[in-house]
Amino acid sequence: MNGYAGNILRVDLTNRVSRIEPLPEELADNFIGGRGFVAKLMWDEIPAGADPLGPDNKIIMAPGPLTGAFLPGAGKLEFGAKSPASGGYGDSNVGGHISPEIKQAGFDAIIISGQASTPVYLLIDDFNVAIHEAGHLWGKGAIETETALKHELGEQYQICTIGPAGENKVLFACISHDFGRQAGRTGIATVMGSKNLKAIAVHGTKGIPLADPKATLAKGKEMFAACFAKPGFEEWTPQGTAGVTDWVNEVGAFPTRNFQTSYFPQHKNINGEALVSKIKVTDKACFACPIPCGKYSRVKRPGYDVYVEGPEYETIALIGGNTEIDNIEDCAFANYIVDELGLDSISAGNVIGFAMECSQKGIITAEDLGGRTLNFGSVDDFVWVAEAIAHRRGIGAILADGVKRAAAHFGQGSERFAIHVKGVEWTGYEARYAPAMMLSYMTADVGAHHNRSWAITFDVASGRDKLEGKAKRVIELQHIRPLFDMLCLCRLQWVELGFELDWYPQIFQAVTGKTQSFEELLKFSERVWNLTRAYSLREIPGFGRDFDYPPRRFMEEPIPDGPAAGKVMPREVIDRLLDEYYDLRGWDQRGIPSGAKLAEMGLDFVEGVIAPLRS
Amino acid sequence: MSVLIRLATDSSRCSGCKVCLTICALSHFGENNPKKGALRVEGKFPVPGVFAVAVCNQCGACATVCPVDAIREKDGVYILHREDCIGCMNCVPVCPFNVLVVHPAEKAPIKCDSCGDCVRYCPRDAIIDTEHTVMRIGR
Amino acid sequence: MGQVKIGVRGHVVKYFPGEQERFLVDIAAPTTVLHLLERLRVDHLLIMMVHINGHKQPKTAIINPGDEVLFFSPPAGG
Repeated sequence: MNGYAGNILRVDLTNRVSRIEPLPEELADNFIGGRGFVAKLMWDEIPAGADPLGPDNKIIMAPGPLTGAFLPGAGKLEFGAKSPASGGYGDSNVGGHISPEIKQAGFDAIIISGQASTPVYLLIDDFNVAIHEAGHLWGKGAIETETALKHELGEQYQICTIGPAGENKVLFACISHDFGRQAGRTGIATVMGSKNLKAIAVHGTKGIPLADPKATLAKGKEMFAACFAKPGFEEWTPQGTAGVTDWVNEVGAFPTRNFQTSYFPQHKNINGEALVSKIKVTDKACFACPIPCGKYSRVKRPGYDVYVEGPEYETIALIGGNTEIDNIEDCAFANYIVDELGLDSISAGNVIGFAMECSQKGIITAEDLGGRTLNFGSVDDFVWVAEAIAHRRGIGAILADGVKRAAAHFGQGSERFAIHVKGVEWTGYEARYAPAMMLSYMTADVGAHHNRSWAITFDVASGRDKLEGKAKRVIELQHIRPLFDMLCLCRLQWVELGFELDWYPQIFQAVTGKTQSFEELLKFSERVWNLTRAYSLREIPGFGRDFDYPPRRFMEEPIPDGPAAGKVMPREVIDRLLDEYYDLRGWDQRGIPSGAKLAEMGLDFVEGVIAPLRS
Repeated sequence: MSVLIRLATDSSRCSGCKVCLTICALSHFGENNPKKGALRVEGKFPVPGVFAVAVCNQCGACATVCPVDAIREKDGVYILHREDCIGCMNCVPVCPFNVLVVHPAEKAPIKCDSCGDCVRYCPRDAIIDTEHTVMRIGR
Repeated sequence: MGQVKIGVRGHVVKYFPGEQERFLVDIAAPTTVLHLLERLRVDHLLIMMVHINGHKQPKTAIINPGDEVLFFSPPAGG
């Protein structure tokens, strides 16, 4: 099977055994790879109703058919598991270099099941697979663990790890790889922690079969040359994603003070220029990336001297704006702290901003906090709470379950400003004046995440007060962007460089020998979108429309200041967006796919589970 | 000695993307496998956070220790003739840049032939040709 | 009378005339970035950053005939 390594690795941590099986051809033909494999294998293999933190849940790691090939951005890895944060479909992806390494070791998917009785790490060296004791690593930071394992095993290994947050089953723990890249969302690291799996180290030496090596080389060359020829090829990279900070403020979409407002007056102290002029050490690329967004930094101040990859835009938004840490050094330091603890910097900034607002409003008292208060703008307070969360100490034990559950615990109206969808915290774009972006967050299958559809420029171009056409565009993007996660490619070449989508079917053909137009590939993506919806419908009691609403703050509180001052998105507007979205998707008004839609998508195998939910 | 291409590096430009290794292996072995690239990219992380890229400059040290004369110079480029190689690996440790690459599936070490593709496709100009015969594509 | 060389980086190219990523524009006299965008019927809020002759400039900066202007799309993610 060209483009594929041809094997699946199964690891049973309970019995500490592993098995290599051939990759089923029909899985590759129908679900392509990456996110497609994750969705299908989760549906088939994780028993309905499984406890996300019990032995029945499985972690699936899957590269895609284009991963590791010679084309720009070919280095993404998809992780999946039943999400402990949402209770439904969960995935998250990471760049770096581990995805090609897994394919070079010979695998298109790794399925990890069971639960080890003591801490372990998984060691994969081509087809030699071993489960080793990891007692000496337990309790160590995520990056500290990677450093220790590189020392122990050798530089040639690509490693992913969890920190104390994953070990202690914080629901927004992240998987860390390559000294600063993370699969952060939906709590896959939490599942690793529940399985006592501290790290996975991989080394592979094998080539990946190509349908046409000559055509792959020629096409890859054309693609890189086309990247180099793009206007501004070199000018974007120095700041990377941090370069967008000023613009997000200019359009009034910057999460500030736990999403109380959407403009942060001190944003120029935490923008891309501040990063480059004050702390950046080097640009750091994922595999085969011509425009590395990774910025490796060093911050030296009285009391600390640390290296950290970042902060990238999302961290600047959620740690900088959302907790009002107003200088790039402290943002980077806070970033370092959450990276070592193994907390997703997005959710951590969101949760800590929520805690600060609760403290400000007296919902969390000094008594709850061991005599202190939590203040926006205080990096000391940020670090104190982050550590309490990662170790589930005191108030941290409640916050460790994310804003949805913490708000249910605290009550007193705090659920109004618990900024999440489906139990997964909102990311770096405030959307009260961006209807397509709002709908993107509401309907993203994993919860409030921007990577399924990012539509703020579309909102600006098509009119931010208009609702027409928004649902249609969101759906288009929800097929295009996750397709990258099926092929396991980075989408930034397309988004940032303007790299044409037409290139991808061409290289797909050279690598796999399969002829698919881009539109045909999008159909696969739509199939997976319907499958992940079905998965959450199967797993979460009452799942559907009620789970697609934004927090009440966005429907009831006008933005107080900044460029979007006065804007709010009332519930009737939200309902109009949802009505249209479900119609266009072929789902009923409760958000359940119709039988006809499932049949059209080739998903007849889920109909038996979904049909009873429709009545 | 005049050569057409002489590789050199500017490691401060390297971002560790491994495009060089990937194109090298694909064009010489027809194989999608950066482990067969005839150069070396290393990251030094978490401290001090730098990359190092090393290439062959055709110094010929390898040729002097080859017992079967499998590494022979032509127009300033030392070519390793894989069919003549006996796999003794004598040449590997003498390379001053450690860029004779040993791969478990190959009997012979893998050596650079100065084709210049790493220069043409390095997105960062971290690998350069001091003779200016080749440059990054599009320059 | 002279010409300005325009380059557009990233996904907002689809909102520029003819979806071109490189083109020339005639200008009769020095103008500002904001005016030029208005003439092209591109909402200035779609543009994250502007370089004139390789240097970052605000949208209020003056463009002269012969200048090279590069418009950047906002990164969509992070």
